[in-house]
Amino acid sequence: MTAPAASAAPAPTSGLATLRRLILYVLLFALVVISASGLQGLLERLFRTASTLVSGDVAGLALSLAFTLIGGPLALLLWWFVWRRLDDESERRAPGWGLYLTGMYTVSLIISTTSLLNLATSFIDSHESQWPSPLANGIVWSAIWWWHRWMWKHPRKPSSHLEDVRAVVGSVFGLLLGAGAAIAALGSLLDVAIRGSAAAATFEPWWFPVLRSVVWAAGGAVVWWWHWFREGGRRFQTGLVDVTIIAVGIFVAGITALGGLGVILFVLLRLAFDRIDPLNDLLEPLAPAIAAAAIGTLVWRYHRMASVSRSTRTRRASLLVTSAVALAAAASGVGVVVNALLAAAVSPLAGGATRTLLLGGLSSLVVGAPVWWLAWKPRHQPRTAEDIPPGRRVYLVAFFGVSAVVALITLLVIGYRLFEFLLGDVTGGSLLDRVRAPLGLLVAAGLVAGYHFALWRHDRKLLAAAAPTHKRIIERVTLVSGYPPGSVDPEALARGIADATGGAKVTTWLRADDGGTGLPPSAALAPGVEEAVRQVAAALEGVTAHQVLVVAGPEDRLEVIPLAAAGGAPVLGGPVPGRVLRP
Amino acid sequence: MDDTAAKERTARRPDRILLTLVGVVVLLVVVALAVVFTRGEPAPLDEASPAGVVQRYSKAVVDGDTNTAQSYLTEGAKSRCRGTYSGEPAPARVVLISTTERTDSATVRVSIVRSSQGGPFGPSEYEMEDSFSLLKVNGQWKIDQPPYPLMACTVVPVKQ
Repeated sequence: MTAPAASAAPAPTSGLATLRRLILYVLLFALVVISASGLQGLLERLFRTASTLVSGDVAGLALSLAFTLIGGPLALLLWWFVWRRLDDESERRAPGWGLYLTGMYTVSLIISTTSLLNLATSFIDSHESQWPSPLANGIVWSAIWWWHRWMWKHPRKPSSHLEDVRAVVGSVFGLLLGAGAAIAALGSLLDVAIRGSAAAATFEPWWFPVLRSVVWAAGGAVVWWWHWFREGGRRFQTGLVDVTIIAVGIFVAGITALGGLGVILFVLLRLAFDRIDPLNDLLEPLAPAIAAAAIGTLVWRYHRMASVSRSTRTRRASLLVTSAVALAAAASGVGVVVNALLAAAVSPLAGGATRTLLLGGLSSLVVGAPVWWLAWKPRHQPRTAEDIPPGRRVYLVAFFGVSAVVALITLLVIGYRLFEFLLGDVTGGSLLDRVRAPLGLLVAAGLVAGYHFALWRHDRKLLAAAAPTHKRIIERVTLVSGYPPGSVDPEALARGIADATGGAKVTTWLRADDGGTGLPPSAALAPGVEEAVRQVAAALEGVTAHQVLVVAGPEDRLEVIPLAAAGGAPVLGGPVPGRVLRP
Repeated sequence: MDDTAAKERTARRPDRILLTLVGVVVLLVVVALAVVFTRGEPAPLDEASPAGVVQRYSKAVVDGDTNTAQSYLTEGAKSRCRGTYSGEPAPARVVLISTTERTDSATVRVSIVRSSQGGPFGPSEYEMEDSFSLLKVNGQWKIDQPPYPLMACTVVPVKQ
């Protein structure tokens, strides 16, 4: 048997090299930030000279000069030193360089984007434009961004380590900036359309804030497009991109869209049934809510489609997260409805507001429930163990757990109020009024927990019915593989045995005697991995021992030996080491 | 045969639970709608009691009627007044917790609920507890110290 070469012993200097890189890159990061700040200060001063009448800020100028003239050359020197070392492939693959590049790329991207957009919007203002500071910042940090992008994509020294992180960070920043500004722009525009420009008493035309938000949104969209399409953020098949799609594109966008829809319905219901407030106040939240619902739905829909074209796991996770957000909305709606019901049962001294509360709960319920129904499909739940997708049990347990925690907290609050009522001089009405909110949450959490617990038990029954009884009896399998190298991969065989026994712990040993290795690979008539797994699984059928020794190969040799403790002592997982090469 | 029937039963069980839960939610919504929309004004308390005075004062404050509210304040309270509380969220509901009545003074503890339209899923409510201090002036209960969210009076300019 050809023993695999022992993994290369770590170089004695690797710890030292890591420390050197850590110090070097932290120092470089600090020096780049210091010189950028100095240069920005000097440039800003230069731009202001035309409009400055009296200049007396010696301290500020001295600081900028020191930062530029000391930090700048040192930063360049250190960078030259680092850049020369980066000819070495191992240096470029070191985590330190990837982290530095990602960190500085992110910082420079965020500062340069916000400064340039600030510069653009500073001209859309009725006051005098404050352009020197954002212009200086934008020039300096854009140059740094370009410089780091050049190093990232350098034809001779490309840095592929953490490449997906840079693309993802850029696209998430662009997406959040673009979507947030788009909501603000659409919201202000709709607000003017719904309530009229008189609602906003300002000294500038109504379209100034809208235009400013449009500029920010366009900037965010460009940054997102650049990183998502040009830099290929969407093409990376890494877990980070999947998680980003789910967390930002599905979760955050889903909450925004559902929240917006809920508020729209709430305002409409209030207009119909609860017009105690002036119309202007009633309509105030309508425009931002419509904008949030529209932009949130757009972002959610795009990422939902993006997740469909990725792995099955991502698609399923996006559906589960959508269902979770919708269920949270519906359940909190039920809680608020109960809260309003109890509030109506109490006769307050003054005021009421129960109708507003009820309409709020209803709108949340009416928006959340249909989305949950469509995403979760409660009528099409798994009927067999094969239909149960992975991830579903985690979802069920998570919802059951979260609602249990909510129930515990609300019970404590209710208990505290109840004892306060029993021990002190407190009216019964006030007790009910003060426990109505936790009681509503308790009812909602109870309904959610009950439903998910029932589903979880149902799934468990299905799985138990599908699993043969012996599967959980075997706890440890010691596999001695005698197949010649290249025919049956022992690791794959071990995984197959673990699956076939319902998760037994498999310890793999390779035969080191002539029985396994003497034959040349071409002469061996060993079965394939699937065939070997099938044979072992068939041989394990009906074995009732906790520990089993399996001697498989060479050729069609297969021996399954149930083991028992000798003299009351438990049998250890592995055989006594004898003439074996390695575990 | 039995096995199939058992499987069918297991498969149908969540459906029954789902139907029950949907029924509970629908019932809650219907009852809440009926109760909330048929609910009248709060029952008036005796005006000669401290709680009755607090009720009338609070109602005037919630309705924004400062002049009526002011008529329930003592002279001392009016002179100490710093105007009307205009912070957000505005008080929307006042519930009596307890009344402690002494010969010439009384303390009425109340729970003040303030609500705002914010929050991703419906309006948010904030509950706080505070107390009114009342004094008996000429045989009538007057409020000497209202809680700050229920402060309402017109500031009288100090005479030179």
